[in-house]
Amino acid sequence: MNPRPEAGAQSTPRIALIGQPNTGKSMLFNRITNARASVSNWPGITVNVMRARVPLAGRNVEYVDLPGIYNLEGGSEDEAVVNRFLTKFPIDLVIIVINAAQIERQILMPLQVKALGLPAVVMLNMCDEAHKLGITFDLEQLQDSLKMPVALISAKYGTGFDDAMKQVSDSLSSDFASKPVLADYDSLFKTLMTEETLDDALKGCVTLPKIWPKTLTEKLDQLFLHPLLGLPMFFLSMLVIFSVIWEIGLPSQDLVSRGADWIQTVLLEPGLAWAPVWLNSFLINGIWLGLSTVASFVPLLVLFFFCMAAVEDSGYLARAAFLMDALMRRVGLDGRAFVMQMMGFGCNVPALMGTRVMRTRSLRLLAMLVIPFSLCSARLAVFVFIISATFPSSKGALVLFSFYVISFLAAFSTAAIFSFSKQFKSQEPFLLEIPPYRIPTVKQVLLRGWGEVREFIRRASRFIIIGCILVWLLTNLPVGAEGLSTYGGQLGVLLQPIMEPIGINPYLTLALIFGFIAKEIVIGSLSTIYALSASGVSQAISMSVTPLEAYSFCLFCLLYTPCLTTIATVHSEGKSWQFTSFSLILSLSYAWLVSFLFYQGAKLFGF
Amino acid sequence: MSLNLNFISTPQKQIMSSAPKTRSLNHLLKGERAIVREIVSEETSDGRTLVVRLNALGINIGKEVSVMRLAWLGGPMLLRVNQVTQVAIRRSEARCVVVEEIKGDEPST
Repeated sequence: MNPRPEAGAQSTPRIALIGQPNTGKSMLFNRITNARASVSNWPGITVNVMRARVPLAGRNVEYVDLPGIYNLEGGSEDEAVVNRFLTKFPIDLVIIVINAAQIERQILMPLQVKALGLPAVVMLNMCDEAHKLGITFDLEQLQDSLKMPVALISAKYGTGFDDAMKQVSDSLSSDFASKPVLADYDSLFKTLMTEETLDDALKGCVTLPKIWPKTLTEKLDQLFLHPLLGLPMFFLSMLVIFSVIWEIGLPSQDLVSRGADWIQTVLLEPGLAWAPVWLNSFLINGIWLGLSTVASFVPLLVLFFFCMAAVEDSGYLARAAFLMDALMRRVGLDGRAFVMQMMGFGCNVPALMGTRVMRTRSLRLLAMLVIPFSLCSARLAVFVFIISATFPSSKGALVLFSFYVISFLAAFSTAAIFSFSKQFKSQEPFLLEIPPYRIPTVKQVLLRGWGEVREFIRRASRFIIIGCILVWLLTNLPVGAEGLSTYGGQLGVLLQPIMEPIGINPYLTLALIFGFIAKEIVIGSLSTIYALSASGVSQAISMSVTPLEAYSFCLFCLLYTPCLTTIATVHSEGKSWQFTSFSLILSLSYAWLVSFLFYQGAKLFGF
Repeated sequence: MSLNLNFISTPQKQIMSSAPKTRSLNHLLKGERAIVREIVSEETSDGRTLVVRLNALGINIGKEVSVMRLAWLGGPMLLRVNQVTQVAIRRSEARCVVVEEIKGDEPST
């Protein structure tokens, strides 16, 4: 899926969306493309740039959603990306998205685009909010002043959208004879823009109210940002989201797993009865396992992005960042990372994808480094199984609670340590716009959730299936081998000098190797390894594994790689093999070190 | 060395002479209002990013800002800028903004 690198007379016109963050640019992009966009690779462009081809007035048009930027002359990473894009890939038209209520500041963008020599239309978005504030616009005068078409729209509700798109199509046809153009940054740098330039451009075009109405946002903030009540409210809302994921998402994941089991026992196993045992096992325990693992994440992701879109679009995410920043900045992160960390307790994968709200790469990578330490629901299942097998039931809850504490401590200590390193030190100034509260629309949330899930399936499935096949090979070869005599089992024995000091026997080591795919299959794999039923395994473990060894095993489980899907997500979001391997090695060595200190320390004190 | 990198160049001398009692934005308390007089930032790309972002969110020389809230434990400040924009800013970043306080009885803009 490579785009045409250069195009003299390209058949498909290309339209780029430009605007500040929080202007609803991506929302407009989703509305134009019906969320049919996908991440595309552009040579030399390192961040995700969404692109979609959608017909406009009878012909195909390519839309590109550039990262939100504050200033075309700015020096941030996103601004550099936009600069590189506009100077490398010719554009037929730019749609400049502006938050209508903030036109006083944002009028800078159209002026800068004009200086770049790019044909453009302006869309004043969120016209409903501007209207409520009592701001009025003289569009004709504004068009004369900017010398480009201007439309007043609401990307969220669709107000004025059709007319605006007609303007886009008219602008395209009137410029049809001309070739697509590259941005001329030299001419922008030569253009001096002062406060007066902005004021002149708007003279007579915008009427602001004499008295500003007191908004609902202020009243709500008196509760949500209250010095004493703000934090309890925050934890309460996190609890609500968490329980939605817990109560609806996890059962739905089970439902998909059960559906997959049904397909396996009713369709695949009889259908593959003709196949030799090895092929049968390869298809079912290798490829089908991979496919069903990917599928089991889908309902959870849909739900997560539903919640995420609701939290983000409502304006609460920015407020959560405001509330938690005092704490998080001490470990080099910010309040948004805390929200993701909490989300990670449901599932690490969507939490990793959610870090996209952080625009600075170093900050984002640091958040992605610590999120896999969140005690996700799959690991919880392993802990419950192991704890109930080895600890007296009166102590179970306390033991489980200790893992939640350790999960937080591990994440914070890692962040605190690595925030000193150059790669992870955040250079982003903490300067966030706190948008007014908004009610997310169902359509918007669904569009976004759908787009995210499709991207996830597209990018993660290959990685996960390959991983499943590798583990299958490891645990099924040489032919006819079982348990410790397979290559995986031999690896378990081979690793004994490393695993023995942390109290993990070769059987459990093999289970940890399985655990790379997903923690959900650890318990199932123990049945295979011990060649016993689940209850039999529980008994075998309670006989052969001491509580101390069990705790060490759980510690290792908590801190090493959660699952293949997490690695796949770390890789597709971080876009760097170095970072993926670093994250993998860090979590493995961290897990070993903590288990080692715990196990040897406890033995030293005579437990 | 500190340098004014405000990309919107406003004559500096005028401002200095008309700014008798200035202090850093991070010293303002809840409910206080002030006029931005100067933005001081380091001559690095980080400093420039900060200035660009401040300007884009409306924290410009001559503009009024008011403190709506202060987060707990020395957390960020919540500012109101330009009537319609609310901005959260860490106090370390607020230190770069030099302001002149408006007394309560003066009319608000």
